[in-house]
Amino acid sequence: MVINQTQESRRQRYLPAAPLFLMLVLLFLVFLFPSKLMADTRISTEIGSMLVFSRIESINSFSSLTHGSIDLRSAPSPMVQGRLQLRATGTSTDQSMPMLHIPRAYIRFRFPIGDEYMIRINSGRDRLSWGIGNMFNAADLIFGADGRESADLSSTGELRDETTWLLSLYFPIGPLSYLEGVILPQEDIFPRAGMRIHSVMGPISLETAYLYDKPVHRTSLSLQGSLLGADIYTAAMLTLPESVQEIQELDNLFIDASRLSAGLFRTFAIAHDQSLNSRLEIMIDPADTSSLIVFPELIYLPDRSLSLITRALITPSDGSLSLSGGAVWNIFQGFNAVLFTAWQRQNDMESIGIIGGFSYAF
Amino acid sequence: MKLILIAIFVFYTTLAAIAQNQPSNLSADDIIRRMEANQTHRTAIIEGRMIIHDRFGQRSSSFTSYSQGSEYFLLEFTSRNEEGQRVLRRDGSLYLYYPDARELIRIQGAALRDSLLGSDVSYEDMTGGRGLAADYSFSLDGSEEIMGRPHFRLQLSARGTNVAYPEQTYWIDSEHFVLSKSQQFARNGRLLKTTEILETRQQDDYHFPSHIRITDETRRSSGTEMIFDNARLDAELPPDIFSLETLSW
Repeated sequence: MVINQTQESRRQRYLPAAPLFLMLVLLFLVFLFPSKLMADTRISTEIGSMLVFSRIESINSFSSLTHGSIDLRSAPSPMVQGRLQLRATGTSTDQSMPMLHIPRAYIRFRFPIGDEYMIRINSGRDRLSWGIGNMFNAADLIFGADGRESADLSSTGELRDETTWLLSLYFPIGPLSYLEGVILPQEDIFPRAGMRIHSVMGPISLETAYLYDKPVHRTSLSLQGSLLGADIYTAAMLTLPESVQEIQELDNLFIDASRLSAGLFRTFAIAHDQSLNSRLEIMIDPADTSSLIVFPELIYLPDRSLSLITRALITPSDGSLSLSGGAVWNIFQGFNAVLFTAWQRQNDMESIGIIGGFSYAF
Repeated sequence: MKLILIAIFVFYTTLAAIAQNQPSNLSADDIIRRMEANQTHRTAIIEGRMIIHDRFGQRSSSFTSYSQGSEYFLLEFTSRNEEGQRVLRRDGSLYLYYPDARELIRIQGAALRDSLLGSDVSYEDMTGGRGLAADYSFSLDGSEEIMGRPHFRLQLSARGTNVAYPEQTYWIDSEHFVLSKSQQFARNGRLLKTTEILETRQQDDYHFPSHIRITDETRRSSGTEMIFDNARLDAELPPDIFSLETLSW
């Protein structure tokens, strides 16, 4: 999305030229000399080519955007998994090297503890989804409650796809419950570390988590259930300063240091093969009611290959509004046509963006 | 005299028991029950494919499913585009796992009737769980011959409005109690979908469909095929397979 181009660049991790060259040589050799290992490794590729128009304060710009990704996964195994994902993005407005980054590079393995228990370890760069919520998720202690900076509003699936370097330990407690601990290394900073417990109690899924994020402690609680045919979910996060004195200075702990999010999701059957997916999420700081943000979303599926999407971000207190709408047409297997428009008004400034093109996964 | 009376009693009791199981004496409920019993196994591992047809061509997805009775079901997609996506049904709820997002979603209620990968098969269709008797009442409409074999023809009428199809017609093989064909109708009687079983397979005492074609009667060139390439019944399943840990591996 044109409005998210600058956001995309903020997420990049540039690769130094020499290791990049070696990586490309390695990939070339792998393709040139197939082996049994190659036959078992799953390789998938996706390429997208888009035209972008944007208008910000009467300044127009046209550009072309191309992105590609290569995804290497190990053969299915009950004990070990490995994955390496590379992504490149290039634009016609930037004549320098394409931006390259590694969204995912991890090893996951199961390890028996005694005769009855099995733990799972994940090491590398990957995503963890704590709590629940597409745009707003107060229980997401790792990537933050507010997904506006990183969300892809043209996605037909998940809006947020942040990943980070981590070491996690997953310990199942029964068939529907588990404990997960995580360490998140940070450059020159004390690592973040925490854990969550997830459980299912009848119709309610419950999750509680804690994360030490120097110099604060964060804790959260999220609940998911259903009511009158709709899925409903809510989450609350509490951020506590390290020092006791700072905690004592807070007037009301649960209002001054908390953040809340909630969501509602329902599918409506329009006809026997048409459906409308509707979602509404909100996020608010209880200490500041003007911080309320609303995210409504409608996805209409007139048939099996076409998705018509409308999304909005509304801040009632200052009247800022962001609207996006578009269509994704899955013409052939793996091949999509995409067209999206976005309009944004913030601080008396308006901007418009249109992006359209094709993508192919093979 | 007493011995003669006992013999006559045993004779007629046996005759009644035999007659009870004759196809011509089965009620519509019995027929549905026997058909569903054929589809329910102690355990099963099935590898198969789903092929979705539309006017632009076809899309194919492969899967492996594990089931235990009618209560536990795990479906794992093995095709490239959906690899790692899994669906778990247990305790009346459905759990979806998306490997890229590492997200585990629990769906209940109306969302169970959402289409699986844009096919003509819903999550509820694919993972089973609720028997037909929970949502439909049945009536035996007669018999008919299909592919040279006698079939029961049954009418299914929805008990409430919480179903995708208010009316259905089923044709069930009189000998093997396998569904051969079904039609789904809208409330106004319009034909919406036709399901045909193109091949069946017998394994031990079970007869079950192995190639199914679902045709969307409202759109030309649209439909879904389900093909079961390999089926192992009463197979040994890994421990704790129907768990969130396996779902999210």
